Amino acid sequence: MIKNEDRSLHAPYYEQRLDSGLSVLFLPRKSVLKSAVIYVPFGCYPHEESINGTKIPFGTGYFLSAMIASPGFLKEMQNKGIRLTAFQDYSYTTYTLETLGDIFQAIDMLLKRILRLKVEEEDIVSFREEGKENFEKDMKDPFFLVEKEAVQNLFSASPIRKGRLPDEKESLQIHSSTLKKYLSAIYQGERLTLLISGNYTAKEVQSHFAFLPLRGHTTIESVPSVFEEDYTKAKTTYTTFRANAPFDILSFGLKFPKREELYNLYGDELFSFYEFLESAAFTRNEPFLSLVRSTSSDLLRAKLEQAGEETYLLLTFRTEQETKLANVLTNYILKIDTHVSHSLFASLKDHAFAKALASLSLPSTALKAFTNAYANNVAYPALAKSVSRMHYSDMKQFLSKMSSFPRAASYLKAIR
Amino acid sequence: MHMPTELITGNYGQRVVIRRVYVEESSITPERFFLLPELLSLSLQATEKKPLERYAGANLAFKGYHYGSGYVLEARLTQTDIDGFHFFFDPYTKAKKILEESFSSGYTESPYLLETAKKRLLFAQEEQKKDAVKCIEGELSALGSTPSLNQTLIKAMTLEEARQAMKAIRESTTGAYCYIGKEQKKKEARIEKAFSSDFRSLPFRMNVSAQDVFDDFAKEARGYVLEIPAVTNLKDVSTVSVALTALGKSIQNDLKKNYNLAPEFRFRFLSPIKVLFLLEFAPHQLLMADSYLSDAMVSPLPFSFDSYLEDALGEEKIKEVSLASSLDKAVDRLLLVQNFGLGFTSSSFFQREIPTREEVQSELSSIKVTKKVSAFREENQR
Repeated sequence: MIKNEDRSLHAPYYEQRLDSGLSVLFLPRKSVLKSAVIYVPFGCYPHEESINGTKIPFGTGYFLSAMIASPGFLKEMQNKGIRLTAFQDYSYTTYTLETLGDIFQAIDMLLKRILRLKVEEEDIVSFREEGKENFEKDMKDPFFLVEKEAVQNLFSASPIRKGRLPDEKESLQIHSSTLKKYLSAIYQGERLTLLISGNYTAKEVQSHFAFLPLRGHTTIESVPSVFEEDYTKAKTTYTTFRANAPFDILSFGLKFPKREELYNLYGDELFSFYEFLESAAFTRNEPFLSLVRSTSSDLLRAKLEQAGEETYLLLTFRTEQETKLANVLTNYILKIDTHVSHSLFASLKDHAFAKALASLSLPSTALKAFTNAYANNVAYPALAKSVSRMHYSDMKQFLSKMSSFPRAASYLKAIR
Repeated sequence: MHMPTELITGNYGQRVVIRRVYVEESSITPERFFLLPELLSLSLQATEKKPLERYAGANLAFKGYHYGSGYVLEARLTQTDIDGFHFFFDPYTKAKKILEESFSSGYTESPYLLETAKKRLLFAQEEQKKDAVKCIEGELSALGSTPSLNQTLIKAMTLEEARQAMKAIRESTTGAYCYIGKEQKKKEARIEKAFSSDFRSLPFRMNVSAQDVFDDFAKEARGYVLEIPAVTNLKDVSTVSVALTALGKSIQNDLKKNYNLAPEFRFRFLSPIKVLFLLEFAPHQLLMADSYLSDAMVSPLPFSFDSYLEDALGEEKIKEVSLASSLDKAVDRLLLVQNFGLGFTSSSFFQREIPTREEVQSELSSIKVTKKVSAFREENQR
């Protein structure tokens, strides 16, 4: 295994690509906990229109992950003291294993499950019923509604408008035959990455490589989803609607330029900006929070999402003066580069680095950090290091560019 | 002088120091008390003199909850704690100083902050009013719960009233510290001097006259106060946990099979000898389960638990995994240790002895049902 180490991070890690094509990443950690992740580089963002001639409906990957991590299989793992969690982001799907016992047994059980999975149509039907309940629950959640509306105001064509989960109608398009095709095309050894962390040596980890049950190579032909998104403007700048909610809510979004364009400008440093953009400009920026409070509003949450070529930042507020708030936000964004002080930048930079060190010390949080960064083809320690070396002037320059990003908001007037 | 409750471990890469201050119900109104954590949290952002700015990776959070015949205000300081990354020469003493100052200097006196704090508290109360389980916990004055507050009093709160509340906290002499993190070099620095009495002197109380509640709940719930053999160590905690999981699964199975109902269950400790066991139902389902529950929730519990023990033991193993992977879970467990004065060592904290089936069976046969409280949707009141 190839060792990577930056001494200031106290977190060496090893990499190896196996003959099966599987990439393995190992992080030795002195912890009672052992953790592993199977990383699948496909998430809920519909990159593929069809695979080998079969149309791939929105939500296929999500349904498949639910079939793999079925309640019966979760219970089987649980009774052996293994916690399995399936998670799907826009760009990837992860299966996380945690145990105080033998992590290699856990990996073996999960890989065998993936290799031998039998999906029956009745499993899909029953999961669809459960999904219906979740969908209905989402439709009653004012935060979900207002944020989805804001994203739909930002984007005109991108599939990101759909959100993460299929609705009832979309889920009717998903059948066991589609899942089988998707499984054999996507879950091949050469597409997957196995991340392991625990109190082991690289040699101990290597000794298990020969026995990993994996799906072999299959040639696939896929047709990518095609859409035309105009990154220079928002679809609609402002919408209002009424829904049941405890108070009025405003969600304000910024649409970033095409990812390729930003990457060409900033390279990997782009992801360092993303690491603390929310806190520097909004959540820990007292002048900003004070402006918000002056409109009888309160910032409830901020999130930066990336999917395919799309990136957006969403700020969600409780408000009593939505027009005043929207104006304050617009004016703030127009001069955003002047609102982040050098001292705040320095403090948050140190804070982000310290948080990274803490994340890297525990197997479960270390692997979570690695998988998040992995989606951008960046090794997490390199990202953490880059954050610690970032210059104020570069951040200011990025913020200055951000002031011209298209904006959109959605306002939910509460029915109490 | 009292020693803080400590878990010495480098497992989480972080250290946590918690300061808890107790005030009697008679010295503060609940509305004033529960506004304080909101005010203190907001002040942390707003104050110009930021106590943590110099300390990378540090986070300070406040919360308040019911405890005995009063309330506890808790400040939790978390910081990165790994070799070669030292911001504090003596982290424990420094953390203690920051925590003491955060209480003594109080909050920033700004009308905007006060209004925002009130709105946050009112929102939390609105959410609680919809949550049947939280309402039962509040009604019973359960350990760790928030009572139902008077919204008019919250809205009318003045800066002067908030000042008085902070004064009551400052004058309290009952409190304790908790610590999770690596061994500190200066052992004597850990010795607690700030409080003249700690949590061991406090009685465990609950509202024995709690009544059924009716409101616009999203779901409905039933709570049972169960008497259990006294827990004295972490293995006892596991035994109770497995036993109540088996009980919950038995009830779930019966209700699914006979009534097609699917309640969720959970439990929380009220004292070393009392547990609140909660069942949460979809709207209008609690009445359908009522006659079954009247027969089932009696002493001794009339169930055969055999077929549920394996799953319950499996869930307990997962709780052990959670404890090792989540600092927050470890903090919750350590606070339970402090509340009940339980014996433990750092090594047994993570690798606890899982109870045997026989021990769980024996626990289940000792459980006594002592009280029930329900939270119904209001239309059931008619």
